[in-house]
Amino acid sequence: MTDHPQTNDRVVFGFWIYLMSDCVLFAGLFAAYAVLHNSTYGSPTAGELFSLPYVLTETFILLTSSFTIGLAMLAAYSQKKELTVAALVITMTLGISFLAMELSEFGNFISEGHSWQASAFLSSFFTLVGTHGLHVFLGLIWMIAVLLHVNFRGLTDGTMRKLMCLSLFWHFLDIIWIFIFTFVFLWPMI
Amino acid sequence: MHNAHQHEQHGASKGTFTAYILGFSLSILLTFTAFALVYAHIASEHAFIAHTTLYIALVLSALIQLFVQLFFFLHVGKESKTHWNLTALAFALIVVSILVGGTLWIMWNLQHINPPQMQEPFLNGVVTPQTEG
Repeated sequence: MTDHPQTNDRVVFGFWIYLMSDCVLFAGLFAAYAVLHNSTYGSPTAGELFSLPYVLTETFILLTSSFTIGLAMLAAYSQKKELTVAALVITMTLGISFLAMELSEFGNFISEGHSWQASAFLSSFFTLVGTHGLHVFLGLIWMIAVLLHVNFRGLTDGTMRKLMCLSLFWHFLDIIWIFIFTFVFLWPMI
Repeated sequence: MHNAHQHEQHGASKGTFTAYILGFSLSILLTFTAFALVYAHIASEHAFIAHTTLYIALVLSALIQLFVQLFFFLHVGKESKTHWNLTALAFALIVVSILVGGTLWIMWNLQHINPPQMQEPFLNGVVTPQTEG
């Protein structure tokens, strides 16, 4: 029991290192998008393709989910299991809505013939935003697992550790999305 | 005992409700400001403010939001003793700026040095289906 806090520290720090290396992965994709976003090869430009109010809605949904997972952590720290589960369920609902909106927009682009094969701009766009979406998807699966842990095992040291890593991951995805929102969607509109 | 133990020790420090509310409101505000600026700019047929000012405003709002969320949501800089989290973060930020900054610098220079006929297949679409076939 006494060495658990240190184990927690180590696990959370290790997870933090993973997040930092994930930053580098995204930096590469951002750099590719920055270089290629004007290479439209006859397909519509970013300014013609994106709908800003739609993306703003997605942004607010993800931002709110980042807030609600923070509330789940607060509830977990004060050992309120039901509140933790409730906040996690809200976070998951928001995450699923975000992903659904993103996929439906991807579907629209593809059905209009603007898939990743159409131009270098669209390749880099789908790779960057799709990688973020994949992270959100994996985060949601992880959240289901943590939710079951919290529900059936209670808020033990082990589940707290899982919750901490998950919340770091989810906040991290929100930060990445802010950069996607600013530099992928807003920037080319100017 | 279990409870007190948890409150004392965990390395990743926890936020308070006020901190989350503050971080959330600031993020909403910054996101909406960036959006509103660009939206007003498009609505006014690109006459609202100077492009450079708008670009700087976007970069600033994203960076401020990065630090707002790092501070209020991820509680960076509030760890108990050592600051290894912060060190790893600083290192990641350096790598990211070298990677993105370096890429843009090189590609920008290529665009200027290369003669126009070279530039076409290389920059505007990398290897396009046309040039490949």
